Parts: sequence; structure tokens; C-alpha cells
Amino acid sequence: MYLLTLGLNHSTAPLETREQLAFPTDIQRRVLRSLVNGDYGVKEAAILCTCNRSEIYAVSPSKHGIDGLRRYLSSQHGIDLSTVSPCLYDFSDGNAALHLFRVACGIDSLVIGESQILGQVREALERAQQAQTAHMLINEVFQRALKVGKRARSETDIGRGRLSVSSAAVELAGQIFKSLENCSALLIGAGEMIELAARYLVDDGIAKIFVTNRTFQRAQELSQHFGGDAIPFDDLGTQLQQVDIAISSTAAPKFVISNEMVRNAMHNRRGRPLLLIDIAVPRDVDPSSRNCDNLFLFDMDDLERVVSANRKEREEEIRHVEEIVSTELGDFMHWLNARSTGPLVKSLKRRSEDLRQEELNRWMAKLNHLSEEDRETIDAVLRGYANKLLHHPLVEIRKLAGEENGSVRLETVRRLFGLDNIATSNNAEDDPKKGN
Amino acid sequence: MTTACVIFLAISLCCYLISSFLYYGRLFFNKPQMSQWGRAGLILGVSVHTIGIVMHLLMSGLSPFSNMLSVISLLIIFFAGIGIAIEYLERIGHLGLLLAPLAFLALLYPMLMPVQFHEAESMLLRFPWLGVHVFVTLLGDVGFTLSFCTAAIYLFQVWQLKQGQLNRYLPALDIAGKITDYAAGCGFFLFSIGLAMGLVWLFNTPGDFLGHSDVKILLALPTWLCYAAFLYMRGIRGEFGSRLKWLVIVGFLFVVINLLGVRHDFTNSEFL
Repeated sequence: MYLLTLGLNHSTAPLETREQLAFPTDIQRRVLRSLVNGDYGVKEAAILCTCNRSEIYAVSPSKHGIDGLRRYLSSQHGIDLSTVSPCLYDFSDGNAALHLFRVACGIDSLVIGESQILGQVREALERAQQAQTAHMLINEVFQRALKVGKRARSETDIGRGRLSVSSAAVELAGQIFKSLENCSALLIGAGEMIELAARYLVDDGIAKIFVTNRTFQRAQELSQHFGGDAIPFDDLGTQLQQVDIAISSTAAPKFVISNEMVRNAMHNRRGRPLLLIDIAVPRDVDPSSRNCDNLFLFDMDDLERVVSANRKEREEEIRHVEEIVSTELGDFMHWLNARSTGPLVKSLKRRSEDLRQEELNRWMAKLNHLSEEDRETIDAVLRGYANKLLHHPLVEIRKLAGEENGSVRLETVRRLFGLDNIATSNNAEDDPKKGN
Repeated sequence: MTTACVIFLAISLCCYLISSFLYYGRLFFNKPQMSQWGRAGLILGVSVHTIGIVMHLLMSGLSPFSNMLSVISLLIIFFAGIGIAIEYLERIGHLGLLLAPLAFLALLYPMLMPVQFHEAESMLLRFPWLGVHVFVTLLGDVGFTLSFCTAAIYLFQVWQLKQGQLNRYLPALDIAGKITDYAAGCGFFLFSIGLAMGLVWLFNTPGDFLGHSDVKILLALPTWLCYAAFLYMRGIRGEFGSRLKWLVIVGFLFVVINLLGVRHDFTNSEFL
């Protein structure tokens, strides 16, 4: 059995092509069943489809199964594959598993180290299980991919640090306050950036949100959406004395928060730390207030620097993640090779027995004068000879399963003994559900 | 001191040094495992140190306050042990950044320059009350050492944030501030009790046992005042400013000078 991958992603295909070859979630089960039940030479299948990638993972008895996948992709989406061929990539066996492991770790993602992909890999497996198209091999490779993804996130810093300006603002809050559960935040403005920041704050468990805006109604709408309170814009100075975090993003052409306002607030706060994040251009907060003790003012440039440093840090972690992927891939290949030696040994024995029987029948027809006893002796001699001849190769085949490049060597054995057709037909007879 | 004790103390000294390098290695080389190894090194150092000093005290039959090495060892074992516990309980990393090098330097000093407290030991034998005074004051110093570490981390974190830099390996400011407050508070409480016990003894014991202007006693006053000012500003006036943390740093400098730099003045003691 061969593990195959056919797909495209953000680095190989433009958005239009990705849209064209996407598999919406609601039709995936049906697609999987039609792929496995159709005449495409596929025994197991799973689909991993996100906004940045569409990939089919399949198990086929033939290494030419990838052609079947291409045919299916073409018929399913009603397109001529030659037009999108340059955007497609395909992998088999170890490379297919390696690709899935890298995807699960987030190092093949547009945003390196993003964590949603691990959930999407899990969902892809669950959908394949529900469609009853995930059996031994797909289950195993996806379960191992989930394990690799978890290891990468727990043992390296690949997922650390935020990569957007709004989320970096929340990360900065974590430097000053261990938990946001006892903190309150004031959002100044009601635009898209403020809404994003509010979402991140709520996700991180902020205790209370206040929103202020020149248009009070807009502040009310936003505060209601996030379960906070709207406050009049004129109370901004007073509110600065109370909250722990203030994020400002207005379209005002001049400073909304003056140096004097900040100094008054800090005086009344008795130096209690205040995180003031100014994500407006032009700036909302007078930068001269930066010198106040325990006031931490960050503007757009500061946040861009934080995001850039985080991105660099994640890129440096890729090497550590690749080490984990490599170790886990070695384990998986060992498992895969060990699994494939059974059918190979079986077919080699069958080949030997067929040859023995064939030769025996041919010669016995010419040796009619021999007694029944002599015939049995000749049969036993041939059987013993064949067994002795095969003993060492069979022992070595079992050892090959655990070796590096074992699958390549096993393939050589298959070719040496002319077992390709036998092995394929044997595998084709296997019911994949047996291993599930 | 027996060879075995010296070997134990030398091993713990090496552990503290290696632990320091590992903690700083985590900071500069961005290898997450290094801080774990650093913590393991510090724990190993404290354990071996404890064994070494207990062996020394049992084999020599001396009091823990008979020499500088024993006194400093007790201080190290307490502040490093409590520091490791705080790291674990508060789930903050890198308190060891300061604890490990402090432990190394504090142990190195008496090992290179051993000092015997013959007069003090004779006094302790005659007045056991003084032993309690020394021990309680020493526990106060443990609190001051821990508050120094967290105050220094707090100030470093503030400096980095003011530069627009993130350092997610150090504890959040509010946690560093909280531990500084608690450690300074506990240290001040114990130090005050220890100091009061010493003064009660000094003014109520007939005879002149110490010089009239004993520097060790005089230096205790600015130490006490620094922490008293810090706790007043922080606890009663409710100030949070990062500049307050400098009082803790200055107070700790007085502690170090008092502990390592000056001795009791026994020149006019009628005890000798």
C-alpha cells in the first residue's frame, strides 16, 4: 500500500486557483466516499482543506495511484488539470508523511507556527473517520501528525509571540500583568483595529472593557458587542486613572491624549502601571508622556518591531521543529516498513511454492517409472531446498524494515524476485477495514 | 574542616557557577532547556551545600555562627531554597538569574577569605539569646536578598519595556512587584525582631561587651530605614512607582556591607 498526497497551497497557487480546487466542509464526506468507492484505485482517503491549502491524502495499492487522484480532482471540479498542473504537488510514502508532519507543525503555513492548523488536521481525520474512509494507514499517519504538531508547540517556541499588531498589543499586556482576569481596558475609538484588539483582549480573559468614542452611539454598539461599558468621550482623562490598559485608534488629526492628561492620570494612580497602546496614524498620544514612571507607551512602530522580532524568532525555531519532524518520521517509516514486510514475505513464499509445484508437475510427467515413495522424496528434497534458500533472505527482509531507506530496499527485493504483480494483487485483496 | 566537607562545598560552588551560566545562556542563546538545567543545577547546589555544611557542623561540633562560612552558607541555603520554591509556586522563570550568581559569589567570598568569629562564639556560648538574635536577623536578610532579586528583575523589565522591547522570559511586572513587596515585608519584620532582640540584650546586660560606636549596629540603622521607607511608601501611601524599588536595592547594599564588610567591635569588651 502506498501513502499519497496531492494538493496545492498558498506558496504554489494563487487565491483564484485555491478557490477553484477547494473542498467545502459540507461536501467533504460525500467527496471522500465517492473517491474511495469510485474507480480511482484508492482504498483510504482524507481531505485537508483550509483557506491556504487543499490536499488529498490517500492510500492506494499502486504507486500509480496518484494518477487516479488527479483524475478524480479533474472530474470533481470539472476542470482541465493541465491548466492547474504547475500549481499541484504530489508526494508518496515517506515524503507524503513528511509533508503532513510539517503541515501539522505549522512550518508549512503562511503564518509560521500558527496553531489553527493542528485543529484543522484533527478535523480532517474526524471527517474521514465519519465517512469511513480512514483505516489503518490514514489513521496512523494523521495521529502521528497530531503528535508531532503537539510536540513542536510544547518543545519549541514555534508558536510563541503574536504576529499581528492588534494581538501584539495583548502580548505586551502580558509583560506587565500576569493575567488579564483582574485587569480592565479602555478602548478609545471604535474602528476595525479597536474591534480586533477588543476581541483579543476578551479571548485572553480581560475582566472589564470600557469603550469611548466621539460618536457615543458607536461606542455603545461596540461595548455591547463585547459585554463592556460605553463612557462619554469627555470622561477619557478620568477613566485613564482607573484602567490598567488603554488602546487608542482614532482618526483624530491631533493628540487625543495629551502629556498633561497622562501626567495627571499617573499622579492620581500613584505610579500604578498603565499600558498605553497607540495604534493610530497620526498618533493619538503625545509621545513626550513616555517618560512618566510606570507608564508604558507603545506606538505603531514599537508594535511593528515586536511583530517583526516574533516572526524572526519563529523562523529561527524551524530548525528545532525539523529535528522533531525527522525523529517522528523515522519512527513512522519503521512502522510502515514493518507493516509492509508481512505481505512481501507471504508473496515470496507463495512464489517459491508456485515454482516448486510447477517444476515438480513438469518433471513428474516424464518420470512415470518412479514409485510413489521416490516421488515423495523428490518433493521433500525440493521443499527443503526452497526453504533453505529462502531462509536467509526472509530473515534479512525482516531486518530491512527497521533500517533507513528500508522501503527502497524492500522495493528492490520485490523487483529482484518479480513480486510486483503478486504483491499488488495480494494487497488489492486486503480489506482495509481489517486493520482499523 | 574535613576534606569531605571542603569537597562538598566546592561541588556546590561549581553547581552555582554552572547554574548561573545556564540561566544566562537561556537569556542570550534562546534555548528553553537551559533554564531547566540551570534550575536543576541550583537545586543540586543547594542540596550538596546543605549536606556539606551539616557534615561540617556535626563533625566539628561548632555552632553555626562560629565562622563566616557557616553563617553565609545558612543564608545561601535559605534564600536559594525559598527562591526555588517561589519560582515553582508562582510559575515564574529566571529568579535564578540573580539567585545563582549571588549564591556563587556569597559562597566564594568566605571560602577564599575564611573568618573565625572567636569572640562572637564565646559571647554566643555565654548568652544563648544572642544566637536567636543572629538567626532571626539572618532570616530577615534572606527576605531582603529575595526582594533585591525581584526588584532588580522588575527594574530590568521596566527598562526593557521603556525601550520598546519584549522579554517574555522574565516574570510579568505585577508578579515581580508582588514578590518584592512580600519578601521585603517579611524580611523587614524578621530583621526588626532580630534587631530589637539584640538591642534589648545590649541595653539590659550589665557590663560593656561591645564598643560604644559598633559599626555593625550603626549600619543596621540605614538598612532598617531603607526598608521602612519602602514599606511605608508602598503599604501605607499606596505608591507603585518603579523608583521605589531603588530603596530595596540600596537597602540590600547595606545588608551586604554589614554582613561581609564589618565586624562587631570587641576592643573594649570586658568579656575578653
